[in-house]
Amino acid sequence: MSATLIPGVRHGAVERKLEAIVEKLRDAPPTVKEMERARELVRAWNRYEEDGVTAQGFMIGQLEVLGSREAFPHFIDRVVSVSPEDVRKAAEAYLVDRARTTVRYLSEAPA
Amino acid sequence: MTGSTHWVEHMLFKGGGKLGKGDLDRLISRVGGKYNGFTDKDWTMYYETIPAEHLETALFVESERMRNAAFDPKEFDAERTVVISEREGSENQPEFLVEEEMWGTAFHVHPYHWLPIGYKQDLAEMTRDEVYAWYRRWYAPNNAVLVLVGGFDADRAVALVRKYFDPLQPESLPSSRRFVEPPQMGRRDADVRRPGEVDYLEVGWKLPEWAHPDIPAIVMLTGVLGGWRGFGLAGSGGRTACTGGSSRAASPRTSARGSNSGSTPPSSRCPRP
Repeated sequence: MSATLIPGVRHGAVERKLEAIVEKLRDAPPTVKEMERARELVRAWNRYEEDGVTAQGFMIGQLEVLGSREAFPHFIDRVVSVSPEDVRKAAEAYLVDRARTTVRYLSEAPA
Repeated sequence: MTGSTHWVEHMLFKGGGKLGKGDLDRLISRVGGKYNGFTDKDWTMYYETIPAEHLETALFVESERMRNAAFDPKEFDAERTVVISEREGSENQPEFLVEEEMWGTAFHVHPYHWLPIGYKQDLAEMTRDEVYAWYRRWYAPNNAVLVLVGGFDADRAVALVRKYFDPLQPESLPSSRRFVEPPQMGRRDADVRRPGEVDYLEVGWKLPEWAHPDIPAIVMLTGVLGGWRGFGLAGSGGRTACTGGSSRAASPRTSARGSNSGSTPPSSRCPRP
């Protein structure tokens, strides 16, 4: 996740907020409304990836390199059929401190 | 040497074999086509989008530069300035500096440690012969994927592919070394300090490879974080904290409980005509 901070806001405040969001996702599945919103986002991302022969060629080529081009036509169906509990389990399994890296860009006044 | 593949990309637009310098424009742009190339962490890609009746032209171009790029020494030296300038231009962007630090901090062993653009000291010292040897070793039909999309006749297309690519000799590829990032043992943090007026933050988590059964749930998780939950970042302690935020998931080729991150590797894209 990335964030551009409003001047005067410290990184710690944003990180604490992010940690609270992640913690909540690990503890309880997303709501039905959130899931529907996420499905819409995923469908929109997918639509951009399929827009025109150039984008389709990029997608097919990249997936072939990744090793699973054949899975692509059904991939979006698998994504949108994920349950809220699946999302919670994914957050619990992967959004963990021991696999996390945080990089802060701290702007300074010119010397 | 970091940055080799990206530098090759620059050289493959400069002719060689039956392609003269400037032929790409003559052959493709003048029939209403467009072309470009870009280099990412797991692949380098070249493409033409061209009217279907000119499919043969695109296949000719790609087969020719797959093995016969000239790598003229003068052109190579001139391109050193271009590649270094491209890197220096990126260094003016906080997002680039943070991305470079993210991959460098998250991956200690795996080549995801560095970005496709490469380190400046490598770009300053790399020789034409080193980059040419890299090109000859890896740019071969048995190490490439050819994708055709569009409204062409499939049988004719296959015949044309055979015409242009069958004569290309395969290369003896070195056995594919599998880099495995050791398990991360704890949270990692890094700061980047530069003159400027805006602060920026990235947080990444390692993810499994693309074919892993958890990937669909992770994509939905990214959607949830990029939806209302993510917007929650805009209200922190009763006031706005961020002007913009995003969540992304990328799942590159190699496995990764040893090799992946929650942020998309930036491609090295070069604007071309």
